[in-house]
Amino acid sequence: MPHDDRSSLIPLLDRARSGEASARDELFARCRNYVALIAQTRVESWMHAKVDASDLVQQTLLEAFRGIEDFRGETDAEWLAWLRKILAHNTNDFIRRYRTDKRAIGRERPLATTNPDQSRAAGIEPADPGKTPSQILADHERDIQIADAIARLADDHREVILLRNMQRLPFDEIARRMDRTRPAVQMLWMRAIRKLEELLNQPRS
Amino acid sequence: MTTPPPDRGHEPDEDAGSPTGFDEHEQRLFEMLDEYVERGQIDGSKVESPESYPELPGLLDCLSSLESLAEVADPRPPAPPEFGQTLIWDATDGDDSPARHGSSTFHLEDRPFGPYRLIEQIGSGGMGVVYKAEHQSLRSIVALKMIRSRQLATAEEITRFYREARAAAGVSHPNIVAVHDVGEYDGHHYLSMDYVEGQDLDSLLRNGPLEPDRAAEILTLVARAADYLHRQGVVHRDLKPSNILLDTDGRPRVTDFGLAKVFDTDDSQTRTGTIIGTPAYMSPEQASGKASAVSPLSDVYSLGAILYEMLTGQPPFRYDNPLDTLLSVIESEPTPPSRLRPGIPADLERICLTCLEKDPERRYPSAGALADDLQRVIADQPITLPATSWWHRLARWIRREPELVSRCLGIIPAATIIQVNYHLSNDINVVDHTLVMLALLLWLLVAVTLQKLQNRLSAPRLIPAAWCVADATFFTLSVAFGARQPIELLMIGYPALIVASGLWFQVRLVWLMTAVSLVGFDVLLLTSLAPNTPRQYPWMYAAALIAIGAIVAHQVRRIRILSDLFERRSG
Repeated sequence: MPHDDRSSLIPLLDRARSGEASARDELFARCRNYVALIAQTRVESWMHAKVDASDLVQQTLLEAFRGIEDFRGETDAEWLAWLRKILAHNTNDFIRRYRTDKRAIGRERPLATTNPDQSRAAGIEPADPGKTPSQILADHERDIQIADAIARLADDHREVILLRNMQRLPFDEIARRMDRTRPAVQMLWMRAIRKLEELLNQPRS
Repeated sequence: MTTPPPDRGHEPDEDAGSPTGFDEHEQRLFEMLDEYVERGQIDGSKVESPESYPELPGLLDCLSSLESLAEVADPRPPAPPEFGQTLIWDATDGDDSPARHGSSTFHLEDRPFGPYRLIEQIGSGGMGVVYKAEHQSLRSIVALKMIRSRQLATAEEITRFYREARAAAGVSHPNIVAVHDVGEYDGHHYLSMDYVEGQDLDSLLRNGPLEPDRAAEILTLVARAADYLHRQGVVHRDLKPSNILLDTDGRPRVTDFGLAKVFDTDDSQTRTGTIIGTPAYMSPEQASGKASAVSPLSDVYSLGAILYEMLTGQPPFRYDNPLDTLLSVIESEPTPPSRLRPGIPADLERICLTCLEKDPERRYPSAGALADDLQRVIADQPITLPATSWWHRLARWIRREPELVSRCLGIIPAATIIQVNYHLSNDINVVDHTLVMLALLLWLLVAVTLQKLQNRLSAPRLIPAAWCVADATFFTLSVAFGARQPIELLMIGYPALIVASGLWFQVRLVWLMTAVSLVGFDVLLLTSLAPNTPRQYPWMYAAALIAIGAIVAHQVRRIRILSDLFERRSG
């Protein structure tokens, strides 16, 4: 994609809002990995089960695409917060459907009960993703960059980073989920971080 | 020692906390990275030879970026807000939550930041993180405040931030922390201020209250600084101990003035109901969200709250959750400082309580007038405040001790009526009459005692329950002793007590009151009920009491739900 990784989304956003189709496509292409990563993090941590988040991402981007005229913000922060809000809304729907699907619950429950870190998950509606005050110095371009880099990792590297860094699970739990030994996931994690750092610092070809 | 079975040979030792496949170097690197993920920082002194880990900074940077993204994707459960932290939230827009200092701060020490080099983090608050920093070319040490990007989300807010910062830069006063520079680097808005060596008043007060003279001295200087700001057209809006720095000579310097306004509302904006300030030090007009009513006199209130805390060691109103604190700021009267700590000069107490008046008109007309009176106290001269009128004192007492006042309003008229009736009729047994009057007197004495206990610094948690039990008991006793048939009309007392218990806003107290009322009613039933009462009536009455208890409890639960919602929004 012919763009500078560190640039603001705003010029693109302005062009997209004025109806330029190619700008819309590029804007959503740039945000896709970001939305996907957040969707994966949230869906996984609320359900403690592997669920393919791609429907959620598709739905979110589609709604954002249709509603882009309604977006009134003027900064990257507002744009990404808007995307997260749509995503949160869809996630809630998704979780509600998931919960009412008795069959799915019956099948998935045993996974949840053994999770040691479910204090903030069980039965609570996910918080609005816009409410994340602790991000001391948010750097939105960097966030998008990281999401892109994670998307380019190998599957097991992506999974271990998702579980360890995004969902902050302890290594024991990650080992259980990935069906490997604890030392093995620790080594995998080290390699994944190294690889990620490499991808971040190497200019995109 | 036995050799592991060959079919499990590929599985490393499960018990080891460390990956056995790592060599020592890798192992150490893993530990450092893991520590960084767990704690948000690593202890630099533990890294024996940083040069042997050339990849470490890059990896840490990578982890830090991951953490900030994880915070967006799935926020950590927030740490409870520190008391005294400034709240900034919006009553209409769910996206604007209070600024909090999360558990996962990533440190930026020793990094270049525009023209500055960050030395160490010295604080973090509602609006951002403060670093001690050095101007790289001037070599001067400053306090660099980085504004959280979320706090300046819109172009409008950024414009206001710069406008306020420029106004602040034009201010020069020995008791005010000067602003030098405002700008943006790498997407972060910052402002640089005098670096004040010393501590803030908040940390000083953690060691306990100050001597009254010292408190008066500090507040005089702070009030003069506030007065200077007011004359420059700046209202501080968030005066509190943590915004008052004490330099190494103990001289106070006010900081963060006017900045609250950047995040505040004005009528032209769509946001409404934003509450700015720190509940414990906030004036009632700020607490009730009347942004337009905020004036220099709101700062005078906050000065009074700071004086109160310097004298007593606690702010005038302090509760576990912001809702109760806000309600008290709006409704109730602080306990006079001298009751919490003996030896506070009466004049100083009057000054303090005058600042804390609910009605801005009753406070000092300006921070300067307050400073003048404080100086008179220090110089042992009479202050200018007029004597407090008796009805104003009465009004204060009603606001301060509503529990006792309401009992007095019930018991004293009841006793008067009974006494008058005793003189008018001549067939009342003198023993019965004395017993009733004694019960009422005892009720009053218990009420006074409970109120005294409640006023104490460490009031026992059971006091509200004690009020409930005492009320039901003494009401039952009075009716039982004074009972002249028929007593049914007096039974109205129990529903009244149950409804009143709802004012504690605690569901379990409502049920407690319902239970003790039922017991009391049972006692009256056995001792005093008219023999010809139809058998089903007492059952119906008891059922009605339970129904009233259920209704009141339900209402209280609803209010609690709203309060919890409010608390979650405010952190």
